[in-house]
Amino acid sequence: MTDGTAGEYRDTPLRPYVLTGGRAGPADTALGVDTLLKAMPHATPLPLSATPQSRALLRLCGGGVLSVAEAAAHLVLPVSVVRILVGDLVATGHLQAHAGSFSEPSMELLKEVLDGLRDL
Amino acid sequence: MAYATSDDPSGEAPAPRRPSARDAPPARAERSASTARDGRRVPYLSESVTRTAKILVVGDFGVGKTTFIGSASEITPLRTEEPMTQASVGVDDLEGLDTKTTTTVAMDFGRITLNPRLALYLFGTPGQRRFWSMWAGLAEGAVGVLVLVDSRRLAGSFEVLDQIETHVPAPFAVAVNHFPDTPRHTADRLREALDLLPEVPIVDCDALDRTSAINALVTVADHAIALRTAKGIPT
Ligand SMILES: Nc1nc2c(ncn2[C@@H]2O[C@H](COP(=O)(O)OP(=O)(O)O)[C@@H](O)[C@H]2O)c(=O)[nH]1
Ligand SMILES: [Mg+2]
Repeated sequence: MTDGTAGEYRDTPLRPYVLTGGRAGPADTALGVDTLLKAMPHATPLPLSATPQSRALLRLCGGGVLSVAEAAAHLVLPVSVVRILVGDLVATGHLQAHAGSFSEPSMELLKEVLDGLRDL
Repeated sequence: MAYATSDDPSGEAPAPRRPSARDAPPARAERSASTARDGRRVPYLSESVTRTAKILVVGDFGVGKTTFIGSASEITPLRTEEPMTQASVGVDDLEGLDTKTTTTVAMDFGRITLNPRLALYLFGTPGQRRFWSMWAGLAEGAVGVLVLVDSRRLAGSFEVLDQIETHVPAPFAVAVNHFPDTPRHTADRLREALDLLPEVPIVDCDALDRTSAINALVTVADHAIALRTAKGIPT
């Protein structure tokens, strides 16, 4: 790594698939970096087999609404790993996921973004 | 404030910000609770937010992406590190890669709650070809892309612009970040030097200044609307 790269990339011995039970594929649920997460209020406790990462994610999302990217940053996990964990927790009814940008934004949304920025 | 990532590999200090940006009153939508793994207070979104939008901030190393996001964001900028699988690394870059390690690319991001229902996320990534796989997916569904450029070393931006023009369907605008010794160029000269089409907006920007950063984002949104409007007009 040269000085100019300023920490933007590096090599690590990290093996993320260990955290996700060997899976590296995309989760079933549509999950973008800006998809919003919220813990389901009356979900059953996580099974004993749940990983510490899943527990930490659920605990974090119990405090309020956050995006997938924010959850990843707060948990110090890659977004790709959090996506898989979220997919599992959504499937078991522990987490709710909604919103996120997947396709071309609507004209209405573009205008709302522009108005919002101008009003800041 | 430090990044949420406790072990910044480079020891790079968070980019400095003008006091005006740091001392701004807390965003109206910010709400905190102490549930992060490290016990830090987590700035949750307002419960009323149901929709999101995103803008990418890309550019060569050192052009000011992290600084820009720090100025515009209502939360202390966050960082995640994404491993790039070897399959997704450009073929030309496979050589010399240690097969026992994973190359990790950092993404800085911030958030602006635009109205009670809508949050805008700003994602910053290096725009070079070898990181393409990392931000190709990020650009999908984006309002647009802001390409930050340092006019003292324009050549560093060529590759980034090439990537955008070839691969990114989202609209993009160019922001020339001003450093103290940045020479004054006219927009026309920059357009020529960067070989940009006439419709690509070029805006001056001071990444240390919040108003200036927000103004550059306005340019992106404005341009996205203009392009959409033009597309909608039957020929
Ligand atoms: N004077 C001045 N310095 C800046 C500006 N933007 C960035 N810098 C400095 O340039 C360096 C690189 O900026 P950084 O945001 O880390 O660039 P990145 O690699 O694109 O994320 C840092 O030392 C910043 O403090 C600016 O608008 N004006
Ligand atoms: Mg940076």
